[in-house]
Amino acid sequence: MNQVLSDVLEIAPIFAYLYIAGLGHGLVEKSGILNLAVDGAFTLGVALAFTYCTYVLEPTAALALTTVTIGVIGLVIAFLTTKLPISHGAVGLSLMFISYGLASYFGYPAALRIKKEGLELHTYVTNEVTSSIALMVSLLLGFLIYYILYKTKLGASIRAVGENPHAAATLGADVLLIRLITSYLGYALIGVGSALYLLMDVKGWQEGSGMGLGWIAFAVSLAAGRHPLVTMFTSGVFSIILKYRYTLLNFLGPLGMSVFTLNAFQYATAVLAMIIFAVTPLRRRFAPPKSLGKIYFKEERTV
Amino acid sequence: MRLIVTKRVKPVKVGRVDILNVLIPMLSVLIGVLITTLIFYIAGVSPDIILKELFLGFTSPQMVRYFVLLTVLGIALALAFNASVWNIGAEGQMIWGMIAAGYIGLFIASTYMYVSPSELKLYENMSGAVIIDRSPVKPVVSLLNMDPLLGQLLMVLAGVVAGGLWALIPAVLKAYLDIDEVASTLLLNYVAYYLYNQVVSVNLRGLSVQARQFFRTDILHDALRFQSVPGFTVTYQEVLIALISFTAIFLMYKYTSIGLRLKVLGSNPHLLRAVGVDERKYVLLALFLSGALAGAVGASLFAGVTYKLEKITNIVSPPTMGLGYTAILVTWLSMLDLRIIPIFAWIVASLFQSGMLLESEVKSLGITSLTGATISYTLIGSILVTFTIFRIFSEYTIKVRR
Repeated sequence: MNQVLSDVLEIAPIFAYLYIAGLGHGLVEKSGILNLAVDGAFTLGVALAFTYCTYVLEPTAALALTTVTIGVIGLVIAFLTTKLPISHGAVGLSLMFISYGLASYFGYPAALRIKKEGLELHTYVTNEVTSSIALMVSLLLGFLIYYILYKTKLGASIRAVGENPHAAATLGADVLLIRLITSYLGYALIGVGSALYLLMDVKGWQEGSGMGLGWIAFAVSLAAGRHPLVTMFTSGVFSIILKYRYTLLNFLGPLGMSVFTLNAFQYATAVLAMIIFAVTPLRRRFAPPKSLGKIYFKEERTV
Repeated sequence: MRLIVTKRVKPVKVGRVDILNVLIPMLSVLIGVLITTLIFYIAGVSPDIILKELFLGFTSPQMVRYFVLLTVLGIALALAFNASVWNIGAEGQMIWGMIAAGYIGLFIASTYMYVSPSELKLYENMSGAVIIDRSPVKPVVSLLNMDPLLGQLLMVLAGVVAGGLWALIPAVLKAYLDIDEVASTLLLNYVAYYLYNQVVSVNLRGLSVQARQFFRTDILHDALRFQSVPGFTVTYQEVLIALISFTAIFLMYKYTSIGLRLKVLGSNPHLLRAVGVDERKYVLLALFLSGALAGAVGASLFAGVTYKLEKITNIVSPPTMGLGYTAILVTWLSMLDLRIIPIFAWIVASLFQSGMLLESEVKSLGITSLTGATISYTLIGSILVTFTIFRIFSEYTIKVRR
């Protein structure tokens, strides 16, 4: 029993950042916004958490600041895709690229400062206590998002806007406001995930840190049909893969597998997760919102 | 304040030209560059330096190579985008093009072997032999196995096939399982990067001391390398690939039923279904052709630029130089029109070259905080964001009411 608990706590930091980022992504997409900026936001979040950490020297403050800042990307996406007849994919990809650029823009000078001034990066100590807290907080967030989405009026509005924004608007829902709230919350969660990745897992930054993990969070959420509770399961599976991929080398090394193949393996598994979701009844059970990625064009004519 | 969005009844034309289709991309480039200039200005780079490097980028002979490569990649992506298949995986397809060309160039078209130091003189004057490593202990020699032209042709063909096959993975996933190709192509880029590391560090790793030290292949035999056009870095073979690609795809669209069906797949897939065409086959074809052209560019990068395959140490600086992502700019700015692609390939190639010049200039000025990734991604992102927003004006009018 103790061994199981200790194994769970070993993967808890990875589970926490992956699950929270996946939750955020799923939340954004529940409102009908195709979220292709997730990897850019995650990469930028890691760089911002690192930069804040370098200047404020306090991990919790860095976490909070990153959360608030990354949330702003959500506001931009929600505004553009709701107010203007604009391609969700194009907005997402454009913001992904600019976020990659900004990640280096903010992260690199901070890295130089640490090197030059010999500063110590104040991150969280990863031990049984902090891992337990991370695990509990992420699970609580999951239940909270589930409660909001399925048991509250706001959640019903979010899902209605995702399914059919025109019908929701006719019934009195403010599509823009709902999408702004959802996207801000969703991106703030992606910000929390990216900050935890830096503060609890890697505890250092180099150019490109976190790149690609946003897509893993994307796959984690997609394979769970964007359902907050099912995402716990997919996040758990991916956390085990990420945590123990190097241990796998002991068994697969003699078969010709190297550390490089294992790095490819995590992304290949993400594709595999998408395939499993597509070919099993999961797809019907957790169908994506009907208006996901569709342009919301509300023409107004003045006569 | 209210935004009133109304669909345009007809395009805004000056003569026979839809003026907004010309103005919007140009304005997007201009505003994107201004945004980037502002961001760099905040970082301490004077706008004079940025403008100077921009000018140099547009006139630099090195830019011509990127112009040619981005033209081919722009065509590759336009092929897919015109069929409403969003291939964001050109990076991965180029990587496989490089690997396949590397395999042919280093293992089929030539042979690498250790010789004893005393034998080295023998190989110095031998036709078809090149000394790769003059190590006093274990010198390495490369011997040509076939006619160099045939070797070059095989490298490009291998790149074409490998890139196309890699693109077939997301194509099958989209056509038969309805899995979004944006996510799958992007994820497969990362798979390609890491498998490339496996291949060059283990399977294709060279014999020379440098290859053993730095996880890379041996250097390509001199005779198999693409030849540069005098005064430029671009090679004859790259120009030929661009000309063939452009002509072939242009003729395919204009005169063949395949081209027509690929276009209809993008504009009205229901029509294809209604006339009994299996649209899934055309999704496969669009992505295969797109990946094949990207693979050809990958082969060119190996045989014309790097001459070796080296382990990627940081994911932000792959051997493809991010051209696969940069080409998205070219294709979108050209509004998916094949004839306009070379114009925007030239503009984007110049900006790409300016970015590289700017990077070395700011470093020489002691501004170490700006990296190549900052410059290129910020520039690509700024232009794309502006274009994405401005693009609306070609189809809609927007009025602001209080």
